[in-house]
Amino acid sequence: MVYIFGRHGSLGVLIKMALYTAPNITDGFDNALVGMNSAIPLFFPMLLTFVFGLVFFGGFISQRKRDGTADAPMWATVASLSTLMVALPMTITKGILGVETLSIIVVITILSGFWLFTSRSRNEV
Amino acid sequence: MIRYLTGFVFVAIFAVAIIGYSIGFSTDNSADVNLNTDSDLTGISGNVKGDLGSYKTSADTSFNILVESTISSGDDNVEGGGQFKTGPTDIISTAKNIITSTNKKIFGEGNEFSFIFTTILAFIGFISGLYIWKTWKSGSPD
Repeated sequence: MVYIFGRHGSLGVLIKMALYTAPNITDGFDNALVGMNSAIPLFFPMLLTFVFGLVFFGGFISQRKRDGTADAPMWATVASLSTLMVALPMTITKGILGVETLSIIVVITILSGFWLFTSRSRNEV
Repeated sequence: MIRYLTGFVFVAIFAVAIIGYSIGFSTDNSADVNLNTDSDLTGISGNVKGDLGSYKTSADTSFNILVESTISSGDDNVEGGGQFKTGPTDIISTAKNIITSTNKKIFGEGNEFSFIFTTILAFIGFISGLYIWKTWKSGSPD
């Protein structure tokens, strides 16, 4: 078990709270990931959200700093594709990422592409 | 019209490519989670492919009509103008498929959001009508 230690309680007893059962890493790294997902089901969707935000906001802000303007549809598409590339290997083993999450990522990628291609001017496509 | 249609054709190709790549990756790597078990997305891929097929056929027909057509002195338009209407009628259903899948997958097909998407679709349809009219009437496919 992994514990979090808090302050001493009113009777001077150290408060010890169990966070989750640590996965057995000797069974293989993929089993550890599956265990992590069963302990914290939102972990991988949040990780993928982080990847999307990192690429989108990182690219958007750095381009705006450099050029004065930023191409939001392009960065949304790049961020979606990056997230899809990170998500696809997670589907090889059962129990890390569900087909529902994968289909949401694919839909967001297609929507980003829709935004990108319908926002281009004649000379940009 | 050129920009508008090019955008929609690229959207359709992009959607088919992304779904095809995801399913191909899962199949090639014998993944336990495969996108082909999601009937909605595989359905969209099939529908969009169908839209592209219809577009190709009607674009070929329009191209031949335009190449073979003649304009008499004094004429500034053609009656019906079917060849100028190619594209939006086939490709616009791609937008419908993508927007419907967004409602299903992200908003859970809730009625609260569906009116937003139907409004967007109506707007896209109306803009398509304006583009058709502009291309047909003025002859400027800009």
